[in-house]
Amino acid sequence: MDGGWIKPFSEYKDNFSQETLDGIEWILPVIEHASRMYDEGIMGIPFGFEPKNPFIARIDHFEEAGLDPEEDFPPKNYEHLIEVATTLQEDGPGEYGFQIWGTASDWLEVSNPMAIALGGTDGAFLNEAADDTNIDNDTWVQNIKNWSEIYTKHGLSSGGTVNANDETAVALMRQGELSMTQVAPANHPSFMEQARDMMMDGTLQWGPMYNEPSGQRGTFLLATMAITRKPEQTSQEEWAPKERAAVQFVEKLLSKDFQRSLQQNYGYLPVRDDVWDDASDQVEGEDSHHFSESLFTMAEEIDVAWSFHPKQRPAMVSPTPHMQKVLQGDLTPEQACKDAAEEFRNTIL
Amino acid sequence: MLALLLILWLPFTRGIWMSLHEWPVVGERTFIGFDNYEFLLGWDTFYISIKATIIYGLSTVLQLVIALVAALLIVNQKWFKNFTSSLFLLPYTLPPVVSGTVWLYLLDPNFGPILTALTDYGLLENGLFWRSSGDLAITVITLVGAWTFWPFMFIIILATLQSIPEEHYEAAKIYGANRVQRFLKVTLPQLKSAIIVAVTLRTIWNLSKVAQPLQMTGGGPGYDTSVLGILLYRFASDNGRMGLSFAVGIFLLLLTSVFIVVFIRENRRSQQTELK
Repeated sequence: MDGGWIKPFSEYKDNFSQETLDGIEWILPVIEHASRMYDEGIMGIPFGFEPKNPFIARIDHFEEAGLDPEEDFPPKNYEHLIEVATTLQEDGPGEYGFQIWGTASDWLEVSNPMAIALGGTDGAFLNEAADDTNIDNDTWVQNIKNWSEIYTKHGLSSGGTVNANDETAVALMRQGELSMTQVAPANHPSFMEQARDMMMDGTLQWGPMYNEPSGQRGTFLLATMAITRKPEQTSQEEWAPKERAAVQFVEKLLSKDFQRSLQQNYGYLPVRDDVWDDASDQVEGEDSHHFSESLFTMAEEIDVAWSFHPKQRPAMVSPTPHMQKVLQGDLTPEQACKDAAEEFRNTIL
Repeated sequence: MLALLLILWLPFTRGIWMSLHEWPVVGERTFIGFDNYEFLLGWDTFYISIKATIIYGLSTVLQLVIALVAALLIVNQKWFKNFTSSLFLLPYTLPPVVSGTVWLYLLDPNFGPILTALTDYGLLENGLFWRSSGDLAITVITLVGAWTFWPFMFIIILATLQSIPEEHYEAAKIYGANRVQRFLKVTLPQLKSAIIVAVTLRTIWNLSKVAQPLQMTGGGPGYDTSVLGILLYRFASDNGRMGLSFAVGIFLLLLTSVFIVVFIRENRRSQQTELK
């Protein structure tokens, strides 16, 4: 994008059918917000998305701990999460009530949805002008305090939390050591493969991320396609058929047939909201584990996506060492957020 | 000579030039003089990284000890010598990422056989979550590094041991030298050059390792296992700051050079002593 190679969506939007455009209309404001740093507006056209991150829990642990799964799962806010997880740990059969993850790609997938649920767009990694990190604002400081205290104060997460990754969630939950956590939806196939019986009989169930107090249920990872501009050395005659083929390819990705199969075959939710019911029907065991239902519930109440800014990934990953220090008890949340912001400004921006 | 110029010196010189710039992967480049170096020298994390690199580099010593003992054990073995050598070489034949994966599983506190057994038998009170502790994490990756790469030294030392003429030992025996004296006066002096070469090469390679430490700890917890190679990789790959990344590379080169100069000087002195 910095090189000016990507063609803005507005320049080829008219090539798509009205039906396709109607199907993706709901998410265009989210994409627009994620593209806020570009004067030309939307730079990539979405074909799939992933809400970050739903809950998954051992429902049998809820029952054994005397909790009511209908009322207590998923938790309604952070305080409810702590209350439920504490009861699960103290009165249930599992060793840990709620696991958080400390590795680079996983700490943010739990803490970022929590930050957005807490403070809306203030919980995004980049500020509204997309020229600075938000990591040291009040929302993030409070959020890192909340997130880290799950481990440091409440002791609800396992001893390996500092460098734990969510790929171990399936095994921990299957063995019954862990009662509840939040993991990326991309882990669903692993759960279906390694804990199939529990998924099919509803022992393991997904639930949407809470939305209190901001009304936002987390954030989106967007799967988008972009069409590039004609390279200078290529003639218009040579380029035109290639661009037509590219548009047709995107149109194919947005076709109803492809969109219906997206979740089952690729793990992303279809961006066209007119195929959501069909897509849910295709997910094996949906009535038991509520995977699609949870994700679509989240989708309806999320306005913030990870942005298209070239520094988005470093903005998310670079605070990791500082957050690990908070989990180790070596830094306060305030200091860690301050250090992470300073490092971002010095080494990334 | 031309090939050497094109594939080594030209990129290297360009790299130094890059380190004097704000050099994004795509976009405008800005000359900033020594700002990248100045930033690194004033950044606390950089010193944590240097410390981690030196500790990880110490695996060279472990590799040498294991290789020396293994080579001495089998050099006079009459039966299954080739088979035993092949077994010893096994870790080196595995890609480091594969052996890293094996050790991650073996040492997993929740599912791995080693730590769960120790916990089950009451030798550990709780699971040993080594990836959560900086000291333990750097120790484990150093030990796993030693396990993975020691056979390189073993090959060199064994080959040299086999080339020492038997007459030298017989002569020493005639003069009444015991086992230890024969090792110190016959074996070790003749191994010296081989050891210096092996240690030099392995030191260079160990100091610049990225893949296995990155895979095993992700450079954490905090920056405790972020060796310079990982820092360099992160600046280039995650942050797209090629100039800063190359500046880290220059410091890595300087660090490596310190060891190389010492070893080369020692090698020269050793050769001069032999000539006398």
